[in-house]
Amino acid sequence: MLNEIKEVIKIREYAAVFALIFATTFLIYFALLLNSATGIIDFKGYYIYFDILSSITISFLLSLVITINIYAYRIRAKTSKGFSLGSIIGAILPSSLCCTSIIPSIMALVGFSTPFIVGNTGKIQSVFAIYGPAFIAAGAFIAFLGLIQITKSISSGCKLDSNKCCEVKNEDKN
Amino acid sequence: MRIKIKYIAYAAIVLISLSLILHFLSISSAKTSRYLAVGDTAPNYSFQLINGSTENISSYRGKPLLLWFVTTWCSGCAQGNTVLANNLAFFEEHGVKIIELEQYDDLGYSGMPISQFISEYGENNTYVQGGSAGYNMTIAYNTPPTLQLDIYYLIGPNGKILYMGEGLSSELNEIENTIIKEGL
Repeated sequence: MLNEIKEVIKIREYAAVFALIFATTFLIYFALLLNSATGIIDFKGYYIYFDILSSITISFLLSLVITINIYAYRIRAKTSKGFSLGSIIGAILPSSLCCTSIIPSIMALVGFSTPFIVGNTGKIQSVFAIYGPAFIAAGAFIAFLGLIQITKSISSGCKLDSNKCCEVKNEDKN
Repeated sequence: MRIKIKYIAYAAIVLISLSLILHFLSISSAKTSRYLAVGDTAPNYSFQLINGSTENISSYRGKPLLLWFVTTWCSGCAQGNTVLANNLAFFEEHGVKIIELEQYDDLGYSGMPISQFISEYGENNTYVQGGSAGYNMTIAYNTPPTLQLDIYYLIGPNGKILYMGEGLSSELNEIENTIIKEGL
């Protein structure tokens, strides 16, 4: 897996894509996690370190997966969009569903009564608040699975040579 | 399996997008008469403090009051306690009482007791008074469907709402500016 990652990142164009995606996703995740104080219930005053670490981990893995997906798409290898989306959703869920009025709004839309909403919204929202770190860990794990899948896919395909042409490694696959 | 993940992911994105649209529509409809607004008289409800005494909003007339509704499992509310604890001197100096009320039944999931919540995240301060609100008070100040976990009201000495918002930790500056602007 490391060899495939090195193979892609050593191409300047992909290194730039990786750096750009990493910087953007890190800023977004960090702002999102910090704003919703994700992890404060479990880690108290140390939650900021958790948020930094989570943002770095998720952004790093996700940037790699997306960059290698772009590479895989170019060389017509199998991509892993599902894992990328799964990872994004897993990482965003706690901050978007825990502390906003999205859940009660959905309950109202579905037609639940006010007493039901008041008495039950916490049962759903608390899951995202209390298990926020677990959702983030799941997001990172899904991104890691995506990374394994996509590197396997490109290693069985071909790699781009210095002229950005597909250098066939295994003729059966092409 | 891959197809399933793909469709689940798409469905989740559609659901989150729809929810966000609904969320913003709900917030814009919060200007209707069902919701409290700045300038309204704060509805008078009674609530129970940690020490067991029952108080009501009207008993705070003559003093500015920051009335804050929380749930004790909410991370934003925990953060709000820490931020507030670091700014208590300002509120003490301006004579603003702070009442932090656990919403009715903690909105369905029982977190830690409100006294422990204030103490643990509010750096053991004794200035913020904790208590719990009943069902009617909760929905009067936090009307569904825009049910917030963390909603607050700055109430003037005359009982009128001077400022209100959601997410106290990120809006403390605005609250302090209003206190200064109103000459409290």
